[in-house]
Amino acid sequence: MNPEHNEIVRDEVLKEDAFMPIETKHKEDDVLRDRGIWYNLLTSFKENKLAMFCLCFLIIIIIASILAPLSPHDPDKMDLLNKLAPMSKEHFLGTDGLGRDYFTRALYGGRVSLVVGLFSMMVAIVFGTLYGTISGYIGGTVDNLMMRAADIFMSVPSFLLIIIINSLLSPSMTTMIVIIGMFSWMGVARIVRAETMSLKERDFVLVAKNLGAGSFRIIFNHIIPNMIPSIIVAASISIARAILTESSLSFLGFGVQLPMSSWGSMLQSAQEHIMDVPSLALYPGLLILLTVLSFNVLGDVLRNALEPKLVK
Amino acid sequence: MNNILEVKNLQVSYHTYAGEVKAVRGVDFSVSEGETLAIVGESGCGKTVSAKAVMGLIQTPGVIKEGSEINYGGKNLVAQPESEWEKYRGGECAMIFQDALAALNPTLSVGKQIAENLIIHRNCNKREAMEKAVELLEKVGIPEADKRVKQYPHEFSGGMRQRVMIAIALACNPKIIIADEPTTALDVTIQAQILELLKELQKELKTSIILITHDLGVVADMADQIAVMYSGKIIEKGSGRDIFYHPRHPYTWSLLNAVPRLDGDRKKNLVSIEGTPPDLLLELKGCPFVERCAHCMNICTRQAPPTFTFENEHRATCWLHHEKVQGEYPFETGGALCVEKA
Amino acid sequence: MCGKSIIEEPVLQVNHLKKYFPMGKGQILKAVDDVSFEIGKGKTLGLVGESGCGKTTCGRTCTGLYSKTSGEVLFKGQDVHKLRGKDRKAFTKSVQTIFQDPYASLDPRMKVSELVTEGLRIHNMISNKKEEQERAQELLRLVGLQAEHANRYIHEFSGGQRQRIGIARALAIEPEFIVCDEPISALDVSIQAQIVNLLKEMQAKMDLTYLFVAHDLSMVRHISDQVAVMYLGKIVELTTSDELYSHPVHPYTQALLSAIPIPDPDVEKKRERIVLTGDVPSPISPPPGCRFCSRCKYATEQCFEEEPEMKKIGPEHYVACHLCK
Repeated sequence: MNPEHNEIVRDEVLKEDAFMPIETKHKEDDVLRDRGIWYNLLTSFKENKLAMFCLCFLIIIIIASILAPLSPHDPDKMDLLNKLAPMSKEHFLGTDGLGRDYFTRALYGGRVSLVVGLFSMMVAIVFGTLYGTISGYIGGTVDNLMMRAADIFMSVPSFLLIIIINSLLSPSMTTMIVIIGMFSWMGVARIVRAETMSLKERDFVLVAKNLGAGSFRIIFNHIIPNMIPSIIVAASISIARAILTESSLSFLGFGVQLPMSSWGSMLQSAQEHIMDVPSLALYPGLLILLTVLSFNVLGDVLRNALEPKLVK
Repeated sequence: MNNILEVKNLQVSYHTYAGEVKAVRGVDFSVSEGETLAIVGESGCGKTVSAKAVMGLIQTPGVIKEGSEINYGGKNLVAQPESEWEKYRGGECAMIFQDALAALNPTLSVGKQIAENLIIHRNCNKREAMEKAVELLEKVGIPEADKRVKQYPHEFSGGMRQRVMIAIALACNPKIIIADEPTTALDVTIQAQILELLKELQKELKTSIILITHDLGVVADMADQIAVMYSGKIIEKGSGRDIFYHPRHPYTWSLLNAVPRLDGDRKKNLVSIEGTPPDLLLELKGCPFVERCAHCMNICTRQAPPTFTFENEHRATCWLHHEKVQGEYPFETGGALCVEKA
Repeated sequence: MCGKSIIEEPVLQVNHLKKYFPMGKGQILKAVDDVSFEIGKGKTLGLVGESGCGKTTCGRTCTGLYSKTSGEVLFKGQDVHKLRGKDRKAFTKSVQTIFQDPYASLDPRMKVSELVTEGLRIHNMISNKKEEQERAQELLRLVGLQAEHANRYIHEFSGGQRQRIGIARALAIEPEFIVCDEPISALDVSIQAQIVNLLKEMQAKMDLTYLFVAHDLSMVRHISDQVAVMYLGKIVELTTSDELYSHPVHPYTQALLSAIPIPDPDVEKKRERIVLTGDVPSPISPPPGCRFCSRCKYATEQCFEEEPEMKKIGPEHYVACHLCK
């Protein structure tokens, strides 16, 4: 040990009160705390540059879509004299084959894609969670029947069915949301059911039963809150998939009807000009890619932030 | 006696989300041939981490800090490359884990798992190794060993699995066996069996054992040396008798009195140590036990205590043994032969 | 010992309780097989046995968490398993459990204040958030924690502190009877003593009745008035604490006591240990006759054929063994 240290020790020993007994303090120092989800989220974003980028991108896209009407152009106004114009001051991303402002159309298209993605995800999550929890919690024959029903839904070639139903019904955003939601809850239900099965055997659920809690209380106060991380991951996948499905439908012409635009339908009309103006396909394609990627990345970050963590 | 393993100033840290956890903060101990060293302490005191360090099993986010020494066979293992460790691990020094079910591979028959060790370290061929495996199973008291050698871990009961673990550890005649809470997961009647077995095997094979446990009762009959750990440090070390009959650290004393005894007074309240151990994320200024100590003094909060050495290599790290301390204590104080600075 | 109660004011009477679990393929796991005991008001019965002997199942069947196969559990004269609706709710208010694992038995998504007051909310004993906070702080102080801990999450606490929170939650609805299901076996030695002392203090303060389930005879001795030793679903010996430790009669009890290590090298060296050979047989196919016969060194032919009955061999001392007359 260094001499400096020894000197400090000697000084301490020589202090008059050094060996006076004192009362023990059982102090509870708050070194480790869970600062809660917001703190965790903030640190994850600080550390994870990709997540930060995805978040910024989504915020910009969402705000831009909401503010779409502020654009000086009418998305549906054709100007055949000015078709396929390149980027310019007036037309930020140029114009499409019918001379419509491409930037404005992309903004309006974003509205459709995001709304369809968000709401069909909600339909799938709410229904899937309820279905899965009930099936897993009750168990036995009910569980068996419910899961086989879900299996049947899963085995149906859903995309074809969506196309058929969509062409029978009057195509609108609402029908699209309902239909996409209808065919994407099974994955959620499966995850939720498996989690419920394991959670319902956990000690804290037994404790709640012991305290006299009913099934309703146990499901909503103990089981569902503990599944939230998994549900968030399922939701982020589901929203991404819904946006893709919507785009594919619109691309095939079964989605939103003209003259309304969506990213998928923009891709479709870009087909004709793919050889001479490839940028027309590039923009909506890039938007779909980045939005879907962002939702997936954010889902992961959010799930991580929700895990209990201790920090100094 | 010559020490076969010497650990000096061992420091292990884990880098976690919340910061650097200093799990082991400068630990010294040594084991001589045929001796049993017991490391006793509560969960989180660093006893298992120390054992893992000696086995070279510290993995990221954990690191053995510079300045640590693990001397075996004239070499400081900390500085050696992984290949040197591989020779030493399993061959020279073997470990028995607490949870045998988790430590055994469920997809391999127990015979193969024992033989594996022999094939790696002793260049046996498969047949020899399997024959040796049967022998080993017989040695650890498994009936019908020639049949059971082909069975899988889940076909064994808890006590039998722990016997298999011991057989695997013994396979290469190691010089040192590290037993990490070998009986904690077992029932008392089975625990007694396993302890008997360890004692017999030690007598026969002259192996050194490092026994890691939280239960002072378990070590009473077994340990030659006992080291008591608290928040990453050894706070008292001595022969088994010294620790049990002349504890010199208030923590050891309270621990001995917190264990209910079958021959004690039933109605008497147990001595409980209030509070909880300090967080290992913290830099400790004074004595780590200060918040829970019933005999705390001013200096304890200000300066880490030095180690006082008494007769028979009995050491205690506590200010109460300083010559200036006066007062009545339920355990012996003062009378140190020499002092090492903290 | 069956039929009429022998003690005044029994809080819990268990008569010939059986709990079997079907294991498929026609196999039956007899977790609790014909168990009878009773606990008087303000007393503690320790239920001791090795893992898999059915002690936890027995505790859970007594609180109505598990249904029974046959027999009856009477709580203050009412059959626990026949209670419905209002009566059932009233019963859940007067019986509580403290669980073994303080990590698994507390919901990680809830704040401490929500955890300890959950029972109060279920039984409509508090009306608003403010009251909830006040009660939570009061309860935390009662079990030796600080009021400020109310707004923290459970993973910020150590094992001992968590177990205190578990105790606070059980005490919140002011129960009369608590099943302590190995409340200390997951804790460190120095913390175990804290929790046992706390449980004793609470018992004295609130006149609680405990069923203390444990595998550790030494700690049970400190808290129990009576001790029942279980082996493979059956009680083999039931007597007062002092009697059990001074005059254990059943060979299994003797072995169990002898297996406990004593933290004293001299005593330990002198002591003659009874080390049982073999393992506990599977409860799925227990041997006929006495369940312990496969490991008992005194076993006679009778033990292998005939199941021993509970016999009274002294005041408050019951044993199921052919060898004691």
